[in-house]
Amino acid sequence: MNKTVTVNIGGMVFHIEEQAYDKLKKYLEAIRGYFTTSDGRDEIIQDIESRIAEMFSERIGNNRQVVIEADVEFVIDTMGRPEQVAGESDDDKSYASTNSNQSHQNNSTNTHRRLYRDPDEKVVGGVCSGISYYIGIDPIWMRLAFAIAFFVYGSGFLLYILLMLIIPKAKTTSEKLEMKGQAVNIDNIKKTIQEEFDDIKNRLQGNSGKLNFSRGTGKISNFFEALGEILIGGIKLFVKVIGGFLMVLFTVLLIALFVSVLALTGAIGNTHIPVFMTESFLSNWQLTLGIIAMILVLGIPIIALIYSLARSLFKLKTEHKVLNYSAKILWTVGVIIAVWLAISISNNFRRREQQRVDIPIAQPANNTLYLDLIKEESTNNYNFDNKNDININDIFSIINHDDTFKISNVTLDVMRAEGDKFELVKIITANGADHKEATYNLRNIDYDLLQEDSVLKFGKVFNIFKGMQFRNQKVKLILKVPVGKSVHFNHEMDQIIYDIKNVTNTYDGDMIDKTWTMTENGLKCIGCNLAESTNEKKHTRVRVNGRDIDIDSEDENKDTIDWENKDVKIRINGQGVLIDAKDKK
Amino acid sequence: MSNLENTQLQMRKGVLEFCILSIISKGEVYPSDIIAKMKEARLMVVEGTLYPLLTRLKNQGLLSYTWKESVSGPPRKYYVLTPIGEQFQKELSTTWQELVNAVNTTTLNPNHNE
Repeated sequence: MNKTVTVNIGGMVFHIEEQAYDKLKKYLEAIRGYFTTSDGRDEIIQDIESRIAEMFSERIGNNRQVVIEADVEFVIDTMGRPEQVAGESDDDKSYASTNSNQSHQNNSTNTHRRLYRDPDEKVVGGVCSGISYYIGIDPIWMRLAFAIAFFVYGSGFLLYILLMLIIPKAKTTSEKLEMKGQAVNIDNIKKTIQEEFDDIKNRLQGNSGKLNFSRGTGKISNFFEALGEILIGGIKLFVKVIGGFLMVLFTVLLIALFVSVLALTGAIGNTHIPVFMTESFLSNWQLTLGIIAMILVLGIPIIALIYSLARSLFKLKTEHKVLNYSAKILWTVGVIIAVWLAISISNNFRRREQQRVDIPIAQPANNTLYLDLIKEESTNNYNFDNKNDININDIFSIINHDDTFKISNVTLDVMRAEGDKFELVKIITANGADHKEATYNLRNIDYDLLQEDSVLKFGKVFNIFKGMQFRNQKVKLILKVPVGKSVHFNHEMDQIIYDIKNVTNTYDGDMIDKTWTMTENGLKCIGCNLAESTNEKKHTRVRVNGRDIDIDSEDENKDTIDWENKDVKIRINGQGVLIDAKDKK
Repeated sequence: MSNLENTQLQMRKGVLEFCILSIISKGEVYPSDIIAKMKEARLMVVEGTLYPLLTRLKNQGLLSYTWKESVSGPPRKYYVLTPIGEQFQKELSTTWQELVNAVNTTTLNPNHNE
């Protein structure tokens, strides 16, 4: 005994068994799910219903009164699976096959899962739900994992946005079934559509007292959905803008690289080339290899970056494997060349030789020796008086004359003489691959200095002839001044004097234009303001741990520590003295 | 879905419209008659496929229908071609002949081009 339902199909009344009714209803809903109103859904369903009604009345005839399940099954077989029905109208959704062998194969073994975002069970974008279907766990764990990851520097958030961008949303019933790993067949489609139908029904009847908690997030979900869409749109735009910006940036970089390479090879003339990139530092083959290595090591990644950016921006899909591999191999070759070059260059500097020469000088009549620089003739664009142009302390400054290189690696020190005469010592040093080469480099240092009465003039550069190479050649001059006699540093001397010790610890730059007298303790500036002011410094002597600490203050009225504007903490314990001064708040 | 199935499906779909229009062009018909013919030609195995197609063709203005009473069930839709539909069918027919020639040329004389 079975319960029957009375239905109106295509304008005809049928008595149908409840089970058969359910099946038929699900079937029609499944078909309905495949069409939109713009497809003419209502009309299609109406036509199908009419035909079903016709088939039912044919099958029932006059013998029966009730439509049974077998009739429904017959109708479904005749009409075809929902996807077959839909298959002819929509290419994308077509899973139809007119192969009669397959038309009854409802339980096909299509259990291959695909990753989709689940729009039905979503909280934000359905990512967690989709992933958990894919790996077969409860979505709550995925959500928990993302929620925790959210607090790890926001990485969960970023990952979620990324996944939301990458993973497509399951839109059609077939995709939803694929997502769940269920076979795309009539039963499952019917089931899914039935679920959705029930769901909609429940929501519509939401005010009839039955609360549905699983859909309680509806409004929140819609909000997140909208937010997500905006966010995704924004990120896509942002990525494109950044991509465009990077592309411009790297193009500029590439151009800069080429210009610099051109400059290094001398293709662009009259630029200030760093010495370590010229023929006076490298041999020709080293220079060539260096440029090759530079182009390979720097150029290849930049070109590759531009290429990949261009590819992603213009959505090119071609991939040149040969190009890819050869670029990698060339880059490796570049690195190997660079390393080998570095070893080869350092070998050129392996040996260092030194030579000490005493230079005879005439003793000045009035016991004061005036020190000055030899005026360089301006033979080229470089202005020697302009300190901004060439820094004398920069050993890498090299000036390219017609037949010589001028290297400004000259220093002067002033010390106390043992006897009662001025003495001048010249110490020249140079590197080379071996003793012979280093000595050769040493002997070809051409340094000028001259004396005019009591004026001693130093060259601020030394020459090496063209064809020689820069091997850290250096000229160090030591002027020994006897006690009681003086030296005067002319204005330009600060270009070569280097770390001259004096009793007042005056910096080299402050020693110029002054006369310094040698005392037993060292050089002292007698009668100059600087010396006077430094001599009058107040010394506060503090004895800490057996060592003297001098606290100097140039202004008597001013404290060393600005007590008024600072919070000062002084702590003295077994470890030492800690003075901590912070700005007052 | 395999590539073969997909190609087969596309081929069938291409001619399906043409065949239906041709059947209807011979005179007023009822969907069941169309299906019977299509089944005979092994072009269609399930009836359900036909209804969306007819609706689409009708919405495109190629078909029109009239209601007629039926003895055994609800009233039936009888389809006829509209003037546009007739023109459409004729053009498809020409195209089909060209296609048949093209297919014959390329498949029946494999040595033709050598």
